[in-house]
Amino acid sequence: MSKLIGIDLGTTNSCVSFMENGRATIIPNAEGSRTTPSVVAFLKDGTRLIGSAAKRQAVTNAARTFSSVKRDMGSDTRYTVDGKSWSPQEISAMILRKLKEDAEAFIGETVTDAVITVPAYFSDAQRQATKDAGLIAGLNVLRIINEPTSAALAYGYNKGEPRKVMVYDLGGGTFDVSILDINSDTIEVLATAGNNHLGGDDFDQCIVGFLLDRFRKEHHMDLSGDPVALQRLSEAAEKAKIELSSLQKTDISLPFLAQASDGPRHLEVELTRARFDELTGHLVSATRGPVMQAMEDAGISASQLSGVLLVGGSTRIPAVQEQVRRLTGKEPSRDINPDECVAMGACLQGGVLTGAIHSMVLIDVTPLSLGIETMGDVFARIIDRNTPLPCQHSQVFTTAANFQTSVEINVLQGENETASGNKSLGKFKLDGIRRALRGIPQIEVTFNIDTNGIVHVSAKDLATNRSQNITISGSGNMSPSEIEQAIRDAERYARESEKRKSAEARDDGAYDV
Amino acid sequence: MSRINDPFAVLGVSSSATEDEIKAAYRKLAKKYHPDLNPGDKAAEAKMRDINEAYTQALQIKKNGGAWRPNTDSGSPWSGAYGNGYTSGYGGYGGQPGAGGQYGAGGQSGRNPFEDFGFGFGFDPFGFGRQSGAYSTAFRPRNYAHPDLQSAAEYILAGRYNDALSLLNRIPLHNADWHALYARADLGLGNRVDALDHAQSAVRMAPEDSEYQQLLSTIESGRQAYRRTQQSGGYDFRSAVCSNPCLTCIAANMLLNCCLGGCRYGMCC
Repeated sequence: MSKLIGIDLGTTNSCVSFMENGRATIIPNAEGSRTTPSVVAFLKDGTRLIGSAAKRQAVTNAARTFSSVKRDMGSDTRYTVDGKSWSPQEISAMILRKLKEDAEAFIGETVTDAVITVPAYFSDAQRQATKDAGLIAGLNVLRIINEPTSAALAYGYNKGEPRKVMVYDLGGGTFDVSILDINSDTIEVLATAGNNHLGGDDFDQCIVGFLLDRFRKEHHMDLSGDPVALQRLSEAAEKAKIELSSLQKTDISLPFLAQASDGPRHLEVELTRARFDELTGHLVSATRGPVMQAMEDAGISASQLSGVLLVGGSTRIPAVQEQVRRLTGKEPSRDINPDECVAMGACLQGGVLTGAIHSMVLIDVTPLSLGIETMGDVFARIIDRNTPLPCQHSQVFTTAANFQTSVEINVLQGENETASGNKSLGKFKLDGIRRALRGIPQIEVTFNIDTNGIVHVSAKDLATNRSQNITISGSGNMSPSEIEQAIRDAERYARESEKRKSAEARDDGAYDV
Repeated sequence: MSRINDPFAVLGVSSSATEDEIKAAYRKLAKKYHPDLNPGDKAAEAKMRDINEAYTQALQIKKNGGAWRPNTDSGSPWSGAYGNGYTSGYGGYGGQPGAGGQYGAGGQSGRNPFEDFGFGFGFDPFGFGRQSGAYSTAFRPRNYAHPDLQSAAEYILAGRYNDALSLLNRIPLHNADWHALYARADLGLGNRVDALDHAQSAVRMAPEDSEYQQLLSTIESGRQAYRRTQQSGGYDFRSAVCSNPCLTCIAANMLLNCCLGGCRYGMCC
């Protein structure tokens, strides 16, 4: 029997775990690390580097190295290398494939099934894109599970007493906050909120901005258009940020950062934690809104929380921890590893799905309200945010014009009052409506959100009880045929690299003799 | 449109159950029917959807004070909360929480809720539209950011204007939604002057919001009707202009001509 893995596909780092003797265990990658950088690089000879090897060469190969791809999931962004363009799903699939292969090598068995985590605040398109990435990587994705929920599962599994906890998850690129009610055999998400574009990367960028400024003042040179310098600055910024979590000040030293007409220019800057907090204060404050909203939606006050879990590497920043203390009046729990608990929860959830764990059920919610566009750019809500999953809602529509035979419904997700302020999941075209006077046909449209948080739409003519055709267009995601093509491409590359590896092994053997 | 009539029956508790009892019953059912524990079982998944809906509704009812009436009473302020909404011919807008009640401008509550139901979605080439004619008198609570605003809206739907006002008075944050609800509650009590004040504040704070504009113009037109009867037959230029787009153009031209002409002759309008 093949093994199931739980994957935390992170913005900056990814992590895998599997069930061993009834416990979730982290799988180290081929390089021996417990997390793998979510970085993919394309070399000139057609080979691809994934993980730390790709991250290491990013400075010298900036234009062909892709990181933080997760931020573009579900969008129509494409990355072009040597005339071929790749979707965020395909790049993510390359990372997933490496994780899968490393897991197989570690476990010694084939891996086909996986549970993959996503930020709780991910929209339908982003979830669908993540599922597609798994498919392209050759994985059977049993479930897309929310990261804070997954962390809470890892934390709450096999711990008796009931309690309400807040998960504050500040990762590399996304921020989530969830309030959960943990009982002995159920974990119920009461509310979730967040920001899909707030994370450690933004903290790095604040430092980069500061360094660029400093360099401009000292040397009257602008490096913001120099990709190699920017890559070096980003790396130095990340390193400084990490150091400032334990030190009060750090030195940033980047020799030969630029070349002027009269010689090389170096950057030497001392960055104190106080200055760093000043530079990033607005990011820390930006987590306040979602925290307050989640507590309000859950109908509880901070005093009713029995604990706060910190998840994601960015929660190591002292100012972030201070913010959590200020908002909740609680000392954050240190029981769990913020980098690993999400992956561990994912494989526990896999255990629930395959029947290995009977004693637990997770009830999650939809993070965003679902609705449709009505005239005058109005967003009409159909399913409210924080509705437990799975859920369904039906609505009856009729025609506005005589003998109208088709109609387009723009389905949206978000919290804005205006339709254009929300994210469109796509336009659903109903056609084949029988010709009749306006107001006569009655078509029942059913919106259904499954346990993955993915939206399904179906329609039925109430007079004939026949289901109505629905075609989806306008979403940034890949079509089934594009996905099939991507799977074929990925498999072909896997075969080629297998051949290359065995050829290299033969060469190595030759040297041994 | 909902598939469930009585959320408490779905959960297997009585309508007088406490919040904790509802939660316990829900967890027990979730342990039995959640799709995670019944892979591939479509019937269990459908059952879980009903259970989730019943749970959300039951908690909402408890949060709003616990009064529950069977939803055969379509005029009940709760009918929307149960999602039975409107299944009649112009169907369209069923089941939005709280959308069930109707509020007649000028305090004429207790009308047939279907009579002035004015925002059916239509299929037309431009997408779905509210049919704006009748909408002017209908009040549809939106999804308010603040739960107290939601409750206030529900009081208004139920015709309990004094309760709505006392609740609103306790909310420190006075945003556009707050002013609009205040105006509606005032209107319900006949405090037209105060209602106008609040409606103006709402429109000032959210000038783009068509609902607030409708509200304001409803209150203003009420005032004009009153003025008209006093002045016995005075011509209401404004409402004539607004009701006829051609006239609006002509009037605008007239005004423009008048202004240009007026200025040339040294008299400004």
